Amino acid sequence: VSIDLQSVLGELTQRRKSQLDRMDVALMTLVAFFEDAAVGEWLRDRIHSLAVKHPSRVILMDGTQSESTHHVGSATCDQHGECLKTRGEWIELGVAGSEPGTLRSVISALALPQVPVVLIWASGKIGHDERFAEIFPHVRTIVYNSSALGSDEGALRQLVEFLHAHPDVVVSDLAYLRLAPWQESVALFFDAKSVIRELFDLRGVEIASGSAAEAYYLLGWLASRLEWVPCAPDRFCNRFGTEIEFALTHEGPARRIRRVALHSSQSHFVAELQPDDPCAIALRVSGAAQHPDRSHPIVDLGTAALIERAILTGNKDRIFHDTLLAASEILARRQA
Amino acid sequence: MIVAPPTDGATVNPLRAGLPPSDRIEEPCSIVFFGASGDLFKRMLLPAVYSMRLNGTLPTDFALVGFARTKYDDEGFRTYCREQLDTFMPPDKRPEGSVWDDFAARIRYIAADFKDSSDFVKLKELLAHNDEEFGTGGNHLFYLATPPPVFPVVVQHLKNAGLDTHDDNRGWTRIVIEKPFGTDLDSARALQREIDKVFSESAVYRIDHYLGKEPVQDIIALRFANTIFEPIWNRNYVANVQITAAESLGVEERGGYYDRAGALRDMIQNHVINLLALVAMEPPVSSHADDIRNEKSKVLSAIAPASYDEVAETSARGQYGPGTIDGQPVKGYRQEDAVAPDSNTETFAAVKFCIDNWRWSGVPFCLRSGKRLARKLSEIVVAFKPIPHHFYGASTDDIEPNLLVIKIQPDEGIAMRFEAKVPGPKDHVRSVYMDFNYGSGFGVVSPPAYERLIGDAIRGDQTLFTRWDAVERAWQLVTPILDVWTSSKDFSFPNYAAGSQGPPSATKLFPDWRQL
Repeated sequence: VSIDLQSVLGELTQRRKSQLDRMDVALMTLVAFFEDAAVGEWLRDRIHSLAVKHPSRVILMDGTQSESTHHVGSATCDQHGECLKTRGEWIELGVAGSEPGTLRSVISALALPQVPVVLIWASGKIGHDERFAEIFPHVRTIVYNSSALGSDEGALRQLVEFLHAHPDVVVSDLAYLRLAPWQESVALFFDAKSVIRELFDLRGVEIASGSAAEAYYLLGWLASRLEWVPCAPDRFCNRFGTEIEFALTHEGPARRIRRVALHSSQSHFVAELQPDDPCAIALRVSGAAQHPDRSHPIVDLGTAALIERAILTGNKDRIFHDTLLAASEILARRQA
Repeated sequence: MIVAPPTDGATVNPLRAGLPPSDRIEEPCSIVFFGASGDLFKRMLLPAVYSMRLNGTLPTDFALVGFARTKYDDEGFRTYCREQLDTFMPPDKRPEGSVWDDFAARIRYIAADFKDSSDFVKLKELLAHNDEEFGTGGNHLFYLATPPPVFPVVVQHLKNAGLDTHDDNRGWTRIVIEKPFGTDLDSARALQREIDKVFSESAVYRIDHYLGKEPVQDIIALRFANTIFEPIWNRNYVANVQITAAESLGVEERGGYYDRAGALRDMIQNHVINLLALVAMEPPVSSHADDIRNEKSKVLSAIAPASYDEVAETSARGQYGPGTIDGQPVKGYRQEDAVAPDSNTETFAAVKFCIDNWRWSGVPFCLRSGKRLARKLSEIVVAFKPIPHHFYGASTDDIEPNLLVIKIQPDEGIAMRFEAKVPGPKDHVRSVYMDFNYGSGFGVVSPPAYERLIGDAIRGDQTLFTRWDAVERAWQLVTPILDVWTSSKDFSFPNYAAGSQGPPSATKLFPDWRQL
């Protein structure tokens, strides 16, 4: 091992003795891996938000720095000097060029005993990365972000392949978790008993979003819940043979859904970001199922909140797996 | 043509199935606030409802109706609501944008005389209109934030107007009743009789905002989500249990009310006895509301009310005189506004209860609450028995019994006192504290109690609301003390200085109170 882990452990002990990091409560060891300086900055900010809320030992594996670099500090105060009551430990390690076994030994040596290890993997290629393959068996939850890793579609495919090979691993994709207010909004349309039947009469779906992964997930979620299968590159067939046409448009900021419209033979259901307020979704229903207009607030859609949800969920999510599978079928059909 | 759903009479939304439980309350509803121009509404209830809106927990199909004497029209009341939210919400949560616009559009107001039945007919028409306009589904939550004498009047008028239930079983009707629930056992029973004529117990939500506080709810988690406490949670290991609700403030502007109430009615009969029930109850079979409330009721029924002869030896009362708090001189109770200069009202009450059951036989439960005490502090202390054998011999340091402290306010958390050896060659032993604070353990701000409780009422979860049998039992427990205290003047009043630990009689009642 070329990283000086003894020094890191010594500094941790010293800080505890000198009360610099008196961590009363530890909920997890949070490991993040990145190889891009800009991604690293973005991650530091989000993880800090998370760490002050959930006291943790944070281990940032920085693929842009050499192995001789390390820093042991506190997660109590951010880089602007703003300090909070919660206390945590913050370790940064340079891992550029590190061997897979070295990364594994970092986790073995530094992870807190008896609390879960959560890995945020902010690098691509999970399917073919030996470093990822070496460390993922040692963590409880993997947090992935398919819409922030270059090609959304490629990232989704890799995730499908990985989960196919490792069905028991707990993975959360932030791109999927980001859909929560939209899933809630779309489900809300059909909560009334008198409207449920409209779900089985849907003929068209339109999704406008700034990234492909979120759109495919939303489409995959609808398809898996309503037993639709892709029967052409731009349409599904339901179990009764009815065709449901779908259209995806690229619109708005990255990683954000902008609009979802569902059309049945008699009604139209539209969920759309409020033009003057990005924190609320306007819900409109016209036609036979007409309903007074509503507004649904979007809460906690920031990355830190999504990571938190991924960690707290902690278990395998069957709906996510069904959705991912359906999304991959749609991708395969479109590619063909 | 609509394709038939896969199963006949399908009533489950397949998009909802499998989604993580939403924070949003799914059932639509109208909430009617009686007393909507009052202090409680503007300071607590309205901010709680708007905060729920911001947090996404309020039903999407929702309407708010204000019902009070003050003359407003709908627009005037919306303006009033916005002004109050601007005043009482944190800066980053003040009303603005489409969320406020949507919320405001759902606000209606009826300027009403509580005694005029025609105003309740108007209310019925408005709620029917809301059901149409806002999709509130015939679900109505009536929140009584009025002075207590108005409670039975409102309940009766709701029945007369046909607002108690739906003829066609469309939607639900619930009623939230603020404390105090009666001023003594007789008045509580009289109020309950009026409610019984109109609402079933399952529709009645008696609110005690103390129960909405996070550390109070955590009592249940501490006891029943851990294995290490329950085996020692009994007379074999516990020496006594102390429950304290102390204030450093005086009666402020509530002198008129407080001089008729006193500490026993204001705090012990409701908040403090509720805490006792949570600490002492047997493990419920589930977290279902009635399973928990059954156990609370059972443990209260195991406490025998004191006979009149026993009142003096099982309780202590006090009244503050002038003193010093935070370095500032403060006046005595009898010098407060709207307080009688020869008032006999207690501003401090302490009670010692014994629970006559297998678990707690012989363990005193000591309850105290007071105003103008040394500091603001609410906590539950479980004091364990001393070690059975002095291992280090008689010549070594005193070994203190273990304490478990459930901190409710101002700090929220759990502390444990245990003994540890002082490093070195000698066998010195000292008490150390292991101190868990919610603030440093979780960087999550607990939702205000009212937000939690209003949400539970809309959901139909009665867990944190007090059932009539528990209210009645709590009144039965304090009634002999109230009777003796009101029928006998305490000539020692004022008997404790503001800023002190309370009256000497409290120490005589129980010498081992934890220091405030």
